[in-house]
Amino acid sequence: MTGFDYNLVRILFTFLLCVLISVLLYEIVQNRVVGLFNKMIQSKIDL
Amino acid sequence: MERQPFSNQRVVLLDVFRVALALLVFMFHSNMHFQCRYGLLDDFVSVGALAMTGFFLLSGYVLRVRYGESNLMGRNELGRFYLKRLLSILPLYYTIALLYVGFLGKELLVENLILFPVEVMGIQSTFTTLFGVSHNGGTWFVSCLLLGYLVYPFLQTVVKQLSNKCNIVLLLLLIGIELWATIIKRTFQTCSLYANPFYRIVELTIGLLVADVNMTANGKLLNALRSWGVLIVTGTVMLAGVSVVNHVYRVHDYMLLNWIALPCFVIMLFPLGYKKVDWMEKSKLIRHASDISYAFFCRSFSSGLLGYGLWK
Repeated sequence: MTGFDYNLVRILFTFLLCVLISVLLYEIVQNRVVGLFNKMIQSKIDL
Repeated sequence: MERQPFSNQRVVLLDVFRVALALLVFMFHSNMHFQCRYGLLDDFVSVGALAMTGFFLLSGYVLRVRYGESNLMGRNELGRFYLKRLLSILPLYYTIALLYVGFLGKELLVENLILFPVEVMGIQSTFTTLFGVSHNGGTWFVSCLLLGYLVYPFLQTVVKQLSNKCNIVLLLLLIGIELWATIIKRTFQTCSLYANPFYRIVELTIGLLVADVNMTANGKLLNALRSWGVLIVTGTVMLAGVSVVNHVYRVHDYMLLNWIALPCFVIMLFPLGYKKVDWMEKSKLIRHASDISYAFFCRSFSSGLLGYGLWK
């Protein structure tokens, strides 16, 4: 594997890891908490 | 196409700007923790922490557009504003802080217990030396943002009551304060300004003032500032200027580079907040990318460390 490829793999690996965790965190934590809160107060909180 | 003032619509170019800033922060962290190289962009990426200045300016700008018509000092509006802001920040922040303390933190249990009330309230950025402790190196900006949100209703109320002329003078004064502080820091070797909530709130206020001027004032100079040409030239000047200065001087204090970046970010906000691009307005990808950018900002730091650990 060339030096350039190794660098590219590192970038892709880190980037995809960040995107994956960010999407999971956003969908699971943020949307769920806001959804629960909306149910509690029975009105739409548009974040 | 141009935008109506305070139309309460999403300003899609500001979403694109937020995504670009999140990517720059990612590149900065991947360069720092993971030794990723970006070729010609390396000199710029290695000081990519500058993106946080753009992020705080953008936060102030977006809040002004969003709450432009509201009287935020009214009892109901104030409560609703704080509730929305806290809900948009705290769930993710608490999750990331817990994950970090549970899996990556090196602090003792007793230290975590002592830090707990400060971190729950998000006031850790007021202790400048806590930057290197626990997750604060990555989540300091949440603390600065929370403190910024705390004072925002007051700031907006003041700005709305001032004339455009006063707001322009105030804008220039705050830019001056922000830049001069870097000289004070360098001369007297004070604590870093990078995670200082006061200067981050100054940046948020600058964003608020730019939005106010951009949305309410008119004139030849302002119309010229709102053009695509200005956006391209300013972006290029910032990229080239920061890269060259960092290449020659190897700047370790990111905030010193605000002498180039801050005026460029401010000028870029005029076209970004005013222009409309139809095909982008309908893009779900841009909207979603912008929505997750806060999570991305938070995660890029910890994921960098996590990824580094996995790779090793």
